[in-house]
Amino acid sequence: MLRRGATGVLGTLLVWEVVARFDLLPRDALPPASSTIARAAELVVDTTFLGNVGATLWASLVGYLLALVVALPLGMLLGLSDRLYLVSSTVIELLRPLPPVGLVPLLVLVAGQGLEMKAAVVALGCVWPLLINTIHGVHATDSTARATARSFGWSRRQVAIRVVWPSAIPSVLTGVRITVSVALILCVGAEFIGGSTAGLGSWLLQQSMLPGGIESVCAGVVIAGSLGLLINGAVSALETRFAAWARREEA
Amino acid sequence: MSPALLEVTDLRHSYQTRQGEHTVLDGLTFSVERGEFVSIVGPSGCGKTTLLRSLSGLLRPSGGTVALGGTVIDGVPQGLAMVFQDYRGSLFPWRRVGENVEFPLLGSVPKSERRRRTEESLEAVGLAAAADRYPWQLSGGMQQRVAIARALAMRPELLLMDEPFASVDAQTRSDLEDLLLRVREQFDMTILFVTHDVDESVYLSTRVLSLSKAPTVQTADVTVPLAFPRDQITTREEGAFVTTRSEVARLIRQAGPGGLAA
Ligand SMILES: Nc1ncnc2c1ncn2[C@@H]1O[C@H](COP(=O)(O)OP(=O)(O)OP(=O)(O)O)[C@@H](O)[C@H]1O
Ligand SMILES: [Mg+2]
Repeated sequence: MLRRGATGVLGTLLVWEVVARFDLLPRDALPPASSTIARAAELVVDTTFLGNVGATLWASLVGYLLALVVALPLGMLLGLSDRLYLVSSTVIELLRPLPPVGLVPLLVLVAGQGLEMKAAVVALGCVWPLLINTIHGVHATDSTARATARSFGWSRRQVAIRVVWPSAIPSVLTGVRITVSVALILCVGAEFIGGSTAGLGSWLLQQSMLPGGIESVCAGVVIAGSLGLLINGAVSALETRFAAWARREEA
Repeated sequence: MSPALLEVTDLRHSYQTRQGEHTVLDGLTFSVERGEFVSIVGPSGCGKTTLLRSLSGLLRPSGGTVALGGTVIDGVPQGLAMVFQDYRGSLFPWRRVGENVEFPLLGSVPKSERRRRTEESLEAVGLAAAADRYPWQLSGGMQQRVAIARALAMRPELLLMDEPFASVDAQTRSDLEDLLLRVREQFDMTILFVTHDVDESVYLSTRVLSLSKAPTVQTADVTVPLAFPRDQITTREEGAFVTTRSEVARLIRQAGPGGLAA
């Protein structure tokens, strides 16, 4: 798995290098892989760049936590009741296609161009998949498992915490895996469109307007992609730790 | 005289369905004394599961009362444990076998006592070595033994079992029957056992209650004149086994279409 991933990355870099070196694409649209990586190596110790990355990560984190704080308890509540489950599934399917980045102009008016606006975009984009996966996970809890837990003499609250929640965790983590990398993308997009003064998005925009800045832009994108990979790896580790039973059971 | 362990009086239940009210239990009255092993047999859909769910407080019946040790229950009572047919759904796949057995004691029994009971219960069902495995790593018969061990750990006075051996193969089934008779002695439990297998009901019980088709009433109450310990081969050869078996089977047939209901 890891080896195949490494081969894929090396292969991509090689093709990229060849395409750029032989000018198959204009040089000012695609700098060679080697110089991009060299630039990236400079950037990861560049405090201005790191400050911008930090701003993006922070806004993404705040927005993501906001989405979790809303989605998890609400998903629990909606998933536990058959009637609310039916109603909420329909309503969410209607709300979900609203593109959060399309709401940026509106959000800029309400929340400005900084942290609050970016966090709101991230939260709006991530809350639906998280909510849907939580609702489905909670609702799909085995009815015998629930009956068993109640036969222990537990209250509905105890059953929810001790049985419904753990059995929903694999589904919740699926929601997390779908959304974490989207959170970063949404945040960068919000910075682009919303005219933020800090963050990876605004940094990329500035660089793209400098002569020869394309190398920095590509390097920045590579770094952002690597960050996304790291975060995905962390979520996979969480899934292995807390949701292995769900996958093993099917086998 | 002290009250019976379980006293069911005029128990009724109707489900509300789209087609209207569907009466399942139509006035059941019976009692179970301490130390009895009572089997309940009846045709599929007659309301055996509904009955057990009412007794265990999982379902509020539309009418009648259930008293445990003289106290009318309202909600899930103390001193009662339930074993379900669907062991797969009943065991929690994210908890190891030992953790499953200990689970019902969480928050009500101190840790050292929990550990002691878990070990003792798993020992009693022959699964002491499986404590650290996950339920889904075990065979069906082993999983049902885990569910029984968990019930034992609760130290119930009354054990309710809903067709617990209906989903395992014949050999495993007779092993589980004998295991159940053993732990019943060891843990001094009263058992109410639902099955649709007449042979099984006679082999295990001190008394068999048979139910009619829904709307369900009780049709017979047969005492099983067989001594313990029982043996899968010799007990089934005894004349008393054969006659009791036929008696119960005949009563069930009478309760079917054109029988008692007509
Ligand atoms: N939640 C419910 N809502 C409506 N009807 C129900 C419900 N649960 C059970 N019933 C109906 O009540 C009747 C009795 O069901 P129950 O499960 O108690 O029967 P049973 O004797 O346990 O059957 P089996 O031997 O197949 O397990 C059936 O006709 C069933 O369709
Ligand atoms: Mg049933």
